[in-house]
Amino acid sequence: MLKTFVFSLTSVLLVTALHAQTFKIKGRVKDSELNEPLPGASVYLKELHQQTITDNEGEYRFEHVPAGDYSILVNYTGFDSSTRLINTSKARKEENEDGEVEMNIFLRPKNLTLTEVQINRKRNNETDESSRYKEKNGDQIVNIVGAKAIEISPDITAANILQRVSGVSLERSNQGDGRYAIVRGMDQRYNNTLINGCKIPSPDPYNRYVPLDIIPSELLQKIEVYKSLTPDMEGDAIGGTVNLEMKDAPDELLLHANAFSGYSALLWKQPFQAFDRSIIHAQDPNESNPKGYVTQPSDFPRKNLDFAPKTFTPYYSGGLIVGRRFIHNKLGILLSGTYQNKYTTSNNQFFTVAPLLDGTPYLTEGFNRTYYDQTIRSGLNAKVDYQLNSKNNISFTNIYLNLKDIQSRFTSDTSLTTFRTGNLYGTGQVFLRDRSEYNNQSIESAILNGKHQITRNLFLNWTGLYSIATNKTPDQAEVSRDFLIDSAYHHSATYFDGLTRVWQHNNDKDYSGALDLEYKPFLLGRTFDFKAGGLYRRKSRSNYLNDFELRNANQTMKSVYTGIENADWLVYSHGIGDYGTNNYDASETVSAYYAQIKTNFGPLQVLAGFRIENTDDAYTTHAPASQNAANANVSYMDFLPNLQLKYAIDKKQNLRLALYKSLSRPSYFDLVPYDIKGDNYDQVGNPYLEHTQAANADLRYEWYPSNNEEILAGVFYKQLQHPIEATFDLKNIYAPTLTYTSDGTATNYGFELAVIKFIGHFGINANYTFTNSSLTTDKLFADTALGKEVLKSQNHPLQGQSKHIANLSLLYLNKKIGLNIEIAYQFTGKRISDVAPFYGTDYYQQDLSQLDFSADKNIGKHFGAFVKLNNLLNAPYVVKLTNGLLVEKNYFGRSFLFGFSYKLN
Amino acid sequence: MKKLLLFLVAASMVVAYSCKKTKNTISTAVTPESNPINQDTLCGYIRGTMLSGKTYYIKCDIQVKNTDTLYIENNVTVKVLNNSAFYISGTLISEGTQSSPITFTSFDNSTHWGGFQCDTANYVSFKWTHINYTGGPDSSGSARKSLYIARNIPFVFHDSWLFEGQDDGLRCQGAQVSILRSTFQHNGTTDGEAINMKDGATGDIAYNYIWSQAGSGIKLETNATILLPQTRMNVYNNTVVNSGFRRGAGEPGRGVNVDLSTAANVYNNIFVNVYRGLEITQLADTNNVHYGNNLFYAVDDSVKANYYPAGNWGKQQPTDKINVNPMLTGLDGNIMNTSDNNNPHLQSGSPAIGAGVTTLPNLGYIPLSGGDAGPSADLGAYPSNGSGNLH
Repeated sequence: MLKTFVFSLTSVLLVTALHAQTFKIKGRVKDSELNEPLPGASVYLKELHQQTITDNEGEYRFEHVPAGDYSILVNYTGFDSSTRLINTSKARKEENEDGEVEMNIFLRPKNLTLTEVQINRKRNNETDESSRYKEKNGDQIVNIVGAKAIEISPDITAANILQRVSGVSLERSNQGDGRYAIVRGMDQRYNNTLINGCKIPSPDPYNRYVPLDIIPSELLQKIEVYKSLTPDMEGDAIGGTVNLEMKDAPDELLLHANAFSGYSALLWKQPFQAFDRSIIHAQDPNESNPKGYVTQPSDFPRKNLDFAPKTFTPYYSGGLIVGRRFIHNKLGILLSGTYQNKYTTSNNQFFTVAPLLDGTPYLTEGFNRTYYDQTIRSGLNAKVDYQLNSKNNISFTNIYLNLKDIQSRFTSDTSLTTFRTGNLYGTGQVFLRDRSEYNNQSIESAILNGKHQITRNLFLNWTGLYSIATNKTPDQAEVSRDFLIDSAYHHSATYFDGLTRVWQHNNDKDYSGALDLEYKPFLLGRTFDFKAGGLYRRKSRSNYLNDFELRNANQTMKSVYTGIENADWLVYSHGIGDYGTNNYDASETVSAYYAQIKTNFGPLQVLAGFRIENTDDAYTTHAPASQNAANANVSYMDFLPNLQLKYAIDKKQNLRLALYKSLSRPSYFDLVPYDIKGDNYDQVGNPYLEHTQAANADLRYEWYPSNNEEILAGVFYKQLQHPIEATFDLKNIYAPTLTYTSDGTATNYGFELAVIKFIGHFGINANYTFTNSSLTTDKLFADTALGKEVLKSQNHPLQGQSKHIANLSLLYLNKKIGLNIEIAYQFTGKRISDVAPFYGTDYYQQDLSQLDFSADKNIGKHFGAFVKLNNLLNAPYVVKLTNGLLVEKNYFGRSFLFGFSYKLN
Repeated sequence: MKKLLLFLVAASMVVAYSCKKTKNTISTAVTPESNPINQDTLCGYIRGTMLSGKTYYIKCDIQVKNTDTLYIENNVTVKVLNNSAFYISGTLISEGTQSSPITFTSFDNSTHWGGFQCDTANYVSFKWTHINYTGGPDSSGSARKSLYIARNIPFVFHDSWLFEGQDDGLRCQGAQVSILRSTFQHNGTTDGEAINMKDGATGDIAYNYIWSQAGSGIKLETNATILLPQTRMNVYNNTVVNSGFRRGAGEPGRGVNVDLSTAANVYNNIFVNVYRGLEITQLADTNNVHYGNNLFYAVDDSVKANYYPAGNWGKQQPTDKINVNPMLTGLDGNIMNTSDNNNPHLQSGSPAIGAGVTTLPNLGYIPLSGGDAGPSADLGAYPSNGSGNLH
């Protein structure tokens, strides 16, 4: 891969310049502070008395210009005028085969001093200044984190960066890494994830949301969290839209390389437990053998349940980013790749609960789990763009993301009710379960995009995308043993309790096309911006799951377990034929259209429009015809009106108001009529689930005291129709089921405060979000007077919503000596981690504080060294019931890593 | 201006096109006409009567609709192929007699089939019926109970046999049961109870003989999530022999297990060589659990210690016969044996004779019409007056 790249880089560099007789003079007018194009600037070619106005990309152009000396005069309101001299015959470096002479002209904002301009000349899209600029000038309510901020932060995945954004908290994986973003108290179900503005499919076997820990932060140019939508954005985000912009080809040659290593501190205490994944069969015995094959005990290898300690398990990682523009900046190429190999361990303790007749919950079983995860994360981003001329640009992006998780999990499961009285701690029945799992997830996306200026004020933007997400978990193997500790603390022998083996794989494919047409006429004394367009996406998903139950081969007597190598089993269930709980094919067609108008009335910018989204969902299962909802086709249309007002109080202050509607679609798996059998109840799908619709209102005050500082204060209110909640179905009280329903309504409101402020080299980046939501769910209640279980409504906040979220980062940024230091504190307040089915009880994740530290230092001109220390407080993740009963406690341990970087430019 | 107009026209066309109606088509269950039973090989939706003396072959899953009845006359043999099962939403009556019982078995008397899945049935009754080799997995790979009911319906299981099932034998959630004078032999491979009564089931379990069950002989519990209605059961005059040894120590097999929020009478039972004898847990509805007059006997010392497993609410009663040989006519102490060499009838002079109660405390439910036998003065399933199990 790398070799090929280096080869093509060399060949492109060898392209030589050609001479020509006549010239075109062109270039871009840019803000010298932000390196942003300035559309509408007046450009005057003095000698030929020709005048033009820069286009939307800030570009100007003069044709048929004879060779000679010229002066170009540029004027733009709010900026100093500039006169530049250009000599066509001497401009060897600026000349190419088309006879064009290119000159970019930077205008200095009137309120800036010369020194600031010089310092800021090299800034680009990745800087804090650029992020602030976009927050200030965007049409939506948005928070942005640029690559420079990401680089100096302690975070190495996209998810962990997101937690620093105001109003965002995280849902974590068992390794303590953030996996999903909860935006303003709305969990992952209510948000969408885009890459370069395009929707991507999820490799998750059950849900449509994208696990954000698959995305290494190094590939990112910036992360944008949109908290209000405009009609030209996809409407399926109620909490917010997370857009991950991948790195783009820079104007100058860019070469960044880094390598780092580290260790998870908990692994010093409990060495990593590894298994041999090379013997895992990619396909289950039913898939790899002809139909009718009878599964044999020998079809299931033992070695992936044979765990052995691995003593030295450092974290190591490397990344490379190369990019530049060629053919006189017409062709841009960027390649970035990263590889992270990380070993972690975590200790988890949790309890299952049941209610007494009066509703008081008690603990039924206690689980102690130790996880060992080897996580291999790799990502590749390749982008090529070609600037045909000043009016046409075409780009192609290919993104490949892969996450392999090799996990050993050791569980001890103790019954706290059978053979056990409250005061006999340490006695009871104990099940030991060792599980090995090799999970391989990937997302690959190819995006073709074109931007065209058709006439002076008509613009066309189109995108074609193909994307596929896959997930494979071959042979998830678990062996069970059990023993008993009686009330006299006598430990029985440990008996072999059989195995389960599960093969699961799924893929999700998207084909989509989008077209935007923008028309910017000058009418009735003001500039209008009309925009209309559409999007079509065809999505298909297929899911496969097959499981095998292997029982003790000894049919006359239980067998003492002496290790997996001696275990003797028979095949009880030979895998499913074709119908199981998670075997289905689903498809979705979304066609959306929108139209919007934007114009200014003095300091007031008004953007109004609507969006229409048509959804066609269909699934097919292999369920027998005797079952209801074996197949379904569901279509619905959403009309989403939208109004965004932005009032510029002065050049540094805005007041924004956004009113709009949005939606959230259920996951396919929520709809499919699955039936997962449980001891006390079955969990079943609900094909009649409605999609969620929301009305949103947002008000935000923004103050940008300088180009890298901001103070933001906002309030929001959301009203949800058909929020999706797990509820019991008691139609048959003797066969109760737990299912998702969408019968209720919910409200969610709150406010946000965000401050970024610098004093000299010291900076503070702080934010606080208050959220309060309310939702009514039907819960189980034992009505002793009636003598039966009934449903009783209970109010509670939305799952995942913390009343209080706060971030505080202290920064020391010194460019002169090349030293950056960040101490980042994150607070996630108490929130419902799970809605319990019992009246009066819910699961609350307790307040969680996290402290991370990072520092980097330049060594000479090109080299740098950095260190990142994570989870310094090692604060446990604790879940308690409403009445304070502890039901879960996880420790992830501290981790630290250090590394070196090389940067050319 | 022209362009603006064009733009508006285009936009309104888009709107017009988009405003199509919402429509959903979610497939509904297809229930074909059920066919009368007029041939020997059966498959799919059936109703009617299996005629005395005939042998029927079941090729695929049998469905009996809510409004239909499947009636099986005495002396019928049913052989099941392809791991098929009976799915009963209507009425199932298997009316064998002592001289002409009915037999359900797998076609080769070795592979397993799907049993009777009567979750949504209206009425289920088995008399003098052999049910052999059930417990084949369902389409998702889960073990199937030999007979499963999840509805508050009458369920009669009299003078019948369960043999070589792979998981739970009779599993009832919420039925009114009468499980009398039946025999359960070598059921459950490494898991499963012979009689598993849950989630508000009520009734009588009496005069049953259980031999070599993998898990527990009789298990009673209420759903930990759905606490009401309660499971309430009379368990008396049962004989459990050589049971509970194939499931691990974590959840060992018991003779009788009275668990979560259950009210029960447990009297007059005999437990011989049972891994754990009578277990009444702390979570049972202990105000409404009454027990006594049970006999415990074992050959192995380690089992002797667990007549009443330690740490539970249930304790040895003065009326119990602890470690007393019941003097069965034939006792095979070898728990490894896979064929039943026992003769569980009482010898004359057995200490079990006359050791029982003849009335039970009222648990607050009305037994099935037709009347249950009521407890006998002699312990176990085979009282000396011949009123118990007739096998």
